[in-house]
Amino acid sequence: MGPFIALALNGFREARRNRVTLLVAIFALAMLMSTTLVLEITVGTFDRVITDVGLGAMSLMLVLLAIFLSSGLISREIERRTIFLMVSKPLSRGAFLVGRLAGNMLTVTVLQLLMAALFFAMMSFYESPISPAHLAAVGMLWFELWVLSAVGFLMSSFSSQMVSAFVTVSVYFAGHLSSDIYKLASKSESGAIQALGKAVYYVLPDLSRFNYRPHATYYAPVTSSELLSAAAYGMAFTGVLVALAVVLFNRRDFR
Amino acid sequence: MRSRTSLPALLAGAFCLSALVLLAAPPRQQPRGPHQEPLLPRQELLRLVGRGYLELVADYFWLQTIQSTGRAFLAEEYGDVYPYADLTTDLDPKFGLVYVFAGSVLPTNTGREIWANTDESTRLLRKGLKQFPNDLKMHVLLAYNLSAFHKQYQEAAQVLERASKLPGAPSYLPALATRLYAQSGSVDSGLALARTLANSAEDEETREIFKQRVRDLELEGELRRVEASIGRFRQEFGVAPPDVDTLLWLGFLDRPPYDPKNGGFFIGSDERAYSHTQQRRLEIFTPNNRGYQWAMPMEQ
Repeated sequence: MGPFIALALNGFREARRNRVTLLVAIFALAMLMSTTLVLEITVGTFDRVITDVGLGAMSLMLVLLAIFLSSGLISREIERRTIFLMVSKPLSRGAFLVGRLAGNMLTVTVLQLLMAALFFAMMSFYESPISPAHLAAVGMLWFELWVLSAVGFLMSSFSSQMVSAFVTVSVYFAGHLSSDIYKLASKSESGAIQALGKAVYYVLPDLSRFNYRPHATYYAPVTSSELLSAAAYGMAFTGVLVALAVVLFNRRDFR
Repeated sequence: MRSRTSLPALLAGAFCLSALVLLAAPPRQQPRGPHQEPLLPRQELLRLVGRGYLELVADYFWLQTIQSTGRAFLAEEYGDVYPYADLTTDLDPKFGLVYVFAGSVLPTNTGREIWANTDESTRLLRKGLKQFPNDLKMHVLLAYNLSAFHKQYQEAAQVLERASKLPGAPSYLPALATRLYAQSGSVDSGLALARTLANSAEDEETREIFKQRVRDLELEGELRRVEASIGRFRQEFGVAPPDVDTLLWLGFLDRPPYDPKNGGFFIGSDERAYSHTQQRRLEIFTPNNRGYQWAMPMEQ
């Protein structure tokens, strides 16, 4: 367990050295500016706008960060040849990969906690009501970040940073549209297209399952069973992708 | 080895910074030429690109809706509110405030009670009512548009009838609905509504109000019957009849008109039918139609 924790903490330290904490400052600035501006220019929808801006900015920043961090980590190790140091240690490649993912997620989680604290503090300051849907939106974002990081990691285990980032961004968009692909395909008269649409839907992560921002916007009720199922879906998808990444990484020859 | 002086870079940077400060200016105002509708992205594109953030995108266009309202001065500029509000509600159909806000600000009086952008306002309110079938404000706004701008009294009455059954509806709505029914010529629909309301009234005072409305509507029905016979008389002789008895005598009226309040009927100088017991006709009053006869005959 020791080397695993060391790897995770090291990943966090590395990200901190890369000044990723600056994102929290940018988030705080964005929140402050938007609330000040919105107070001046909106009519009767302050609670809605502060929720949308806060959750939207948090999600966008963390998604981009997760994609950037995860897609570059392994390929950078390979490019810098530091991977040779790691593979020569008495540590399995799988543990190395999962340790790096844990480090990545530790960074993202710490930033998310800071952003969430800022967001809720801002809402309390403006006496904007906080509902369970707000907590669900923040919590489910964390699972979405796990899935996206896993996609980045999988790609990073066998391709360059550029390709990994491109594919992960594409998966992010496709993942939010996958339910539409399913619905559109099921309207087709061709059985083959229906099957293809369903296959695409099941292969891609359905990221809309983690999107509780509309619920927060409308203070809509959320059920714990729905949340649990989405969280389990996220962790299962991550598990599959990480397992695939480990298999591919194990087969890779670094000579 | 050459010395590592940063002076040239600093100097160049300072020079460029000064140039930037001097050149910095607020965004240019577009020359005020002929008015052009705002060119907005298609909602399909926004749905594709902004998936996962649609509420945030809708918020942006909502803020633009408010800003376009604030900027507007002319009727066509108020018309710009429609594309913004339409796009906002396309992106987020449950954004209820947008329908009410834009539906209220769009109709613009261009002078002498000539209104612009009324179709857009009505379209938006109809769109909103599909999403919020129990929204009282939207019902009332739509009924107002239909009666005041489009003169579609029957539909306005139907909208108000639905609104009057919503929780929190003001007590005058059913009465207004019956008046609109009468105005549209559907006296029977108004009567049916008034009778239902009288029968279902929980207190005696409300029941009496609707019973009175039933009597008013019955009288209005009789007045319309007399008016129809006046029209037929005018077609036949080219002038209005002198009194109601003439209509009866010549057979233009098959039976004497019945006033539930036991009053008599007369033909006013505007050649419309009136009753002694009801000073004003049951219709929508406008600057051109006050609904009553100034030269009321004293006693007959």
